[in-house]
Amino acid sequence: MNATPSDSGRWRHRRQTSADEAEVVRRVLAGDREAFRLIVLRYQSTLAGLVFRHTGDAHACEDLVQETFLRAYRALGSFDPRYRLSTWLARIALNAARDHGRRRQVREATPVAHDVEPAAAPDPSTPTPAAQAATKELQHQVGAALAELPEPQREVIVLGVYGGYTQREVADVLELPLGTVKTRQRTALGKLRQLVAPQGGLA
Amino acid sequence: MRSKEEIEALLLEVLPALPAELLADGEALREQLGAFPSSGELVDELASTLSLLHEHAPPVPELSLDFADKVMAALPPAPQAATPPRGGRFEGWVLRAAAAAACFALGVGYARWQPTPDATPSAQQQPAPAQAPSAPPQAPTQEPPLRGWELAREPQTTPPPVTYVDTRALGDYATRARHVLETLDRLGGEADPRALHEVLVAVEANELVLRGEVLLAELEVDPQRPQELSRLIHGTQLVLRRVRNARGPAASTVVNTVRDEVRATGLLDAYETLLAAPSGEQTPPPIQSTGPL
Repeated sequence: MNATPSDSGRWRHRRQTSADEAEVVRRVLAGDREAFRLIVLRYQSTLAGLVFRHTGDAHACEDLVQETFLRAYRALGSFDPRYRLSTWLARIALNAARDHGRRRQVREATPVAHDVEPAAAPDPSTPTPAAQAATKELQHQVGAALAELPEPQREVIVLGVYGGYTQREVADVLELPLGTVKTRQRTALGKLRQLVAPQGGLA
Repeated sequence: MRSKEEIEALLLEVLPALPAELLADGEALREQLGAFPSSGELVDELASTLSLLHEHAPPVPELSLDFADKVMAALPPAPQAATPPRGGRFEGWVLRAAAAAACFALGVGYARWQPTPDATPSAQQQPAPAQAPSAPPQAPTQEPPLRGWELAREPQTTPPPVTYVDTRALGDYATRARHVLETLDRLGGEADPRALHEVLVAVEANELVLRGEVLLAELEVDPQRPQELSRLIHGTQLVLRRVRNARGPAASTVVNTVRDEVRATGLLDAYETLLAAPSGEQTPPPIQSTGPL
């Protein structure tokens, strides 16, 4: 095994950021409003990914990420520094995404469908239009497969696979037992395998 | 030899922590799990599924370049003051809130129903002179006995007003939350999809969880907020979230469990007390507000 928890830079980074984040939170609570910008800059991309993978709604993504940060700012005093800021923010983002999804379902009474409009942006590394179309089709398949997952299973995939959270962190974010997270992740990956493979996605 | 489930669980624990490039070719995984020859096919399936999910996921839309500026501009004046983390489990502080509400209800009941010698309806009514001019006077020189809240407030001067940030929103939330709790309380022991659906719709259509979050945030910065009210809403939020997240075959089990907890903690009773409207001038509300409360 080349990458272990002890020598993985990513894991080291995670441990190091905890103290930094606690200091940033302390500064914000002490009245240093600009310190919150550090939190925004550090987590905006991660949260955008979580929210977009969860809702599939590219148009609402930015608004939901902004709402997440506003909620976090208002409730920053209740943040428990014993937990990771990233976990806490992910929980708020997921709640915002869930609320958005339910509002949309109540309004439209239609199932959540992943909006893959951003995939239309041309990828400069794609050599031909045919390959570009194939890539877009695969992206559509993956997006549609994610959208077909039940929300609890989609959340563990979004956090674990795309968010890079460990299963224990996913359990913290979702406030679930670790065993439940493992079961959901296993079930979700099995479903994704079935959903994507018949369409030629898997070699 | 480990079982298939154990290998799969191990994979899922390890995979998210690996860099994406390692997921693509699966070499590290094969090396790690080389001791399990029978797991080769499983490794390939999982690695290819994860690789596909990573490589062909719809691209995340780019946030605007001035996104951080927008967020900073939209921030409220100041975050709430640092407060100690809400400790204890759900039952703990809901019980405290329910106990506080019960004490309050007992106080109200005692003040209202304290027996007096002339506590009959006929003695309380003062006949109008125009309607019964010949009626005998009923103790004209004696002040009518104080009743109800008059007794409770007699030794006090003017009670300090307590004003919430948004009493209308608070009353609206409390009314709808009580409706959900009542519906929950009516659920039988068996699974009832329609009743579950009614509860779920009541929670979702009214955006109760979101409203509760806003209320909690507002109450946190209100220096005169009653702690019991925050605890009550916080407990309700937990109930609402658990009901909202109850899906699938286990939904009825989860909802029944939550219902039993709600009954055990007296959450509904707390709302009944909170929403008990003051009747007449004799029973001024303990909390002066301008909203529907």
